[in-house]
Amino acid sequence: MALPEVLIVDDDQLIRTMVRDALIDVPCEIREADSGDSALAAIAQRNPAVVLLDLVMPGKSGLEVLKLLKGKPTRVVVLSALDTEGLVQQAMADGAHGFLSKPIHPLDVQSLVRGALEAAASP
Amino acid sequence: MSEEYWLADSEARVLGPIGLEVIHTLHARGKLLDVRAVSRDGRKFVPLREMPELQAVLSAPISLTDGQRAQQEATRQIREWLASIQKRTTQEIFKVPQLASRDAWRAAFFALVHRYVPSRLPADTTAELRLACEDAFLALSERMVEVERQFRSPSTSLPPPPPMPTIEPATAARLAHRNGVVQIGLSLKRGDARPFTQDLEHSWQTDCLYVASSERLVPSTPVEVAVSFEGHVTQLHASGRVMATRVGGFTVRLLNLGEDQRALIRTWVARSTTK
Repeated sequence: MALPEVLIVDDDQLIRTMVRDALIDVPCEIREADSGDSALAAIAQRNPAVVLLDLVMPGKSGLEVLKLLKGKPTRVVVLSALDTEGLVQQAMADGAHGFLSKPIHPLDVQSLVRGALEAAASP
Repeated sequence: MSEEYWLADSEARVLGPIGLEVIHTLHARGKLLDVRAVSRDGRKFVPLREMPELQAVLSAPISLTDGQRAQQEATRQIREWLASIQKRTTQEIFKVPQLASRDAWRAAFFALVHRYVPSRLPADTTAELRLACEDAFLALSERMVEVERQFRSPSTSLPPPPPMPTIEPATAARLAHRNGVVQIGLSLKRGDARPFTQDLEHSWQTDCLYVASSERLVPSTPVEVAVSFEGHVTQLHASGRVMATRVGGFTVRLLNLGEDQRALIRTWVARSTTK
């Protein structure tokens, strides 16, 4: 049985690496995208179960990507240092499965992604 | 429906669409310090000055005060956190399982240290916050060095929580500032090679010297070093630059060392470590 896919979307290579490392024990196939546009292309092509999405990126912003994914089965976990209440509420209203504040902690990443994968598996 | 905006920073990274209220809150928290262009549709961006309502929010005097307050608060939180980890084990700080792999330790370390990396701090970071971040960076780095040591030790198959970092009494260094150059004088007792070996990453093998000092020197500060060795007539004189700040001191890279100077250091280290 194929492993579910997780797409890490962040323009910061270091963050992508840290998230990838954090998910080493999570049974999933990991892919990466460094912009909103490349994320949308990857999502259209691969239909990942979970997307970890930065909010501030070149091209399409994370919030725009999130709006475009609203109503789709893909679960989106937002990763951002912009963790004000208003923005968290907006992201959740736009369909985010969860919001993770940067700097991220590996255990928090694992926990949220495991939950999102479970939710994606039993919609 | 209230108007929404897109904001772009100097690296053309975009945030939006967000409303004025969210923008105001983000700005007040000091999180929108680099807005260069703005848009109402996410496609056509114009300079900030062309949208007075946004410029008013992003340049309001109260926001600047709030931004500084946010940095003060961040400084206070880092200092509290630093105090709180003093008596905690590295495992507790890094939040890794008992049997964590080296990669798991490293991932936890990078996740924690990321926000404190001095070179990644915004240009307008206050001096107090910068110092707090540097201290946090150094404290975490010291813990990680201990972890790496544990993994390097062949007798240790599973890493116990590393001990608290201890600072041994170090060779006294004399520092003097002259014309922008820091002059460092070291008098080494027989058998003491710690300045050449204490910093495992940057030792005598890479022409580096650790200087124990309570003085905080900025990396790249030019230095002139004079080292005397007990029982030796020859002294080591070299120029260099501060390359890294450590807990309890800093590491200097010695520049343009001659082979005879390297031989002097090599001999001293060999005698000190084989006695």
